[in-house]
Amino acid sequence: MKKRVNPVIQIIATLVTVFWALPVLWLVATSFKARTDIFVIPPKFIFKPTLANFRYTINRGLFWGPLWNSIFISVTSVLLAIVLTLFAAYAISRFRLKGSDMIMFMVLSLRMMPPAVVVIPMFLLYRLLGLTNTYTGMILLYTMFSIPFSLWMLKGFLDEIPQQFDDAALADGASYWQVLKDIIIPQLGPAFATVVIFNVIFVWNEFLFSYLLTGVKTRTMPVQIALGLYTDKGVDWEYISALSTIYITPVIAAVFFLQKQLLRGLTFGTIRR
Amino acid sequence: MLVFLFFWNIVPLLWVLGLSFYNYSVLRGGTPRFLGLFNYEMVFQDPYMWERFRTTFSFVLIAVSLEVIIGFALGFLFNQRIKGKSIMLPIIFAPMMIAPVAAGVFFRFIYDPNWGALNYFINLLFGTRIEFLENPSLAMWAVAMVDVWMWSPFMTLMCLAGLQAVPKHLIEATQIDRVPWTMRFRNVVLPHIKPVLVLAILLRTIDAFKTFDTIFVMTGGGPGTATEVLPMTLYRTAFLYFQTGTASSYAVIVLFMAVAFTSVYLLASKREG
Repeated sequence: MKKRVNPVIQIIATLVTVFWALPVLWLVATSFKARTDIFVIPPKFIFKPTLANFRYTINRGLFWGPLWNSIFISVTSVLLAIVLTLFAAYAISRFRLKGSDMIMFMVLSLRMMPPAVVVIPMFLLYRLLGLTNTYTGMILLYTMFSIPFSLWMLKGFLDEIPQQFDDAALADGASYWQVLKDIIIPQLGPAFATVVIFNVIFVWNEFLFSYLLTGVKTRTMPVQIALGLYTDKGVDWEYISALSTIYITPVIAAVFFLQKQLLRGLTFGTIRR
Repeated sequence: MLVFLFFWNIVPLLWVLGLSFYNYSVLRGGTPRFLGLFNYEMVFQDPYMWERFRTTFSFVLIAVSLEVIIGFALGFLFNQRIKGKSIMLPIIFAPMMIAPVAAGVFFRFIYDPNWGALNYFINLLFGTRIEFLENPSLAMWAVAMVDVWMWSPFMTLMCLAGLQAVPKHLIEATQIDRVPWTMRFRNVVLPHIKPVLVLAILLRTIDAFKTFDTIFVMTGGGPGTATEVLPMTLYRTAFLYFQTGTASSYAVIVLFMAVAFTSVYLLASKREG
């Protein structure tokens, strides 16, 4: 029984979608406008696109640095978190460890904790250890942030791989390391994809800690956006619109091409699969 | 990895708890002086303290309730047969992955009283301009709207997932028996989506409670203290007024509230799962 599309619903859905996309579209459009087209009343909906804002943004200074820092810090910390959690997840999933429920619970509550709570001691700790404005400090920080999600995700996937595989290999004389390397890891492809994409975007978006703990050398993109907002002439919209457009493009691309992995990450902890 | 988690999580928590009993300022340095519960007394006697709690709760209430209403409306809408759904849904879901800092910037741009797009239309229709972010009674709504834009889709996502769990034969049976849709909703659909709904609302409440980035970029807690939610208070006290001890007792209070919310969430997820 195939139902026809209800035209009213079709129109409403289309309108809602367009409406929802407007804030982003408007900003992206602004970034391609010439200065004279941005500050006009009425707002221009049709205009001659130009790359002037992007040229200006790249040349205003502190462009490549924050961009590279964002990429480098997010990728490194997430990979580090995966390596760390893979072993932990394997151990928790395969061996009856004492207190593993407790560990999982503790890790989950970390996801719920407001970051503002730990921001003061983190700030003091980083000053004490001299980790402020260092790559090591930022990478360790975000590795810690990525661990809870990675651990839950990887454990969930590992639980679904039948233990008979392990047992068969172990009986044939394989070591735990060989089991992990040749049997488990090849099957974890989708899990890795979800964990990497989701955590990289999380780190890419993180602002508060980066704002307080980085300096000019290790500053990331969101901090540059927040700090670059004001100039002595007021808000520098040409700069901000172009910078934000560059900043969100990879994320938007990820939403379109890696939708499945992202949705799995978002619904994590609420819907069982 | 556990050692790592311990150092990066438990130590800061204990540290912040300890600091909350001391008179300490990052600026002044020196040896902290033990004050006992003095900081807490100060916080609880501060008349603005309750105002901040009220601000936080009204922010969470406005944001989460609108998200539930809009999110579920969209969920039911997109559960219908619609052409191009596979393109529309990612567009709707995209705001969830966009950095809060960037989202805050977009909305500042749209709200701008002089040449923001929204004010252009308001001016066209009503002949006035509204300073959304400068007006203390409107700023809260304006800031909450960003959260609504970003996170209503989360409710939609959960709603769609919940609706898929409703057995098709039950829906068809009610259609054959010509059961009115209100009854169908109450007796067939609602019981199936309720577990997901409860978890989604709790999760959103916990997350809305942590909101910092968007407010920081849009109003910085202002005008005055109109949008100063607790994480913002904490930030201001610790890093603008340099009252590290007082800020730490705020952090401990926020921590307890977060723990309370999280326990409710975990209880609910155990019961529903």
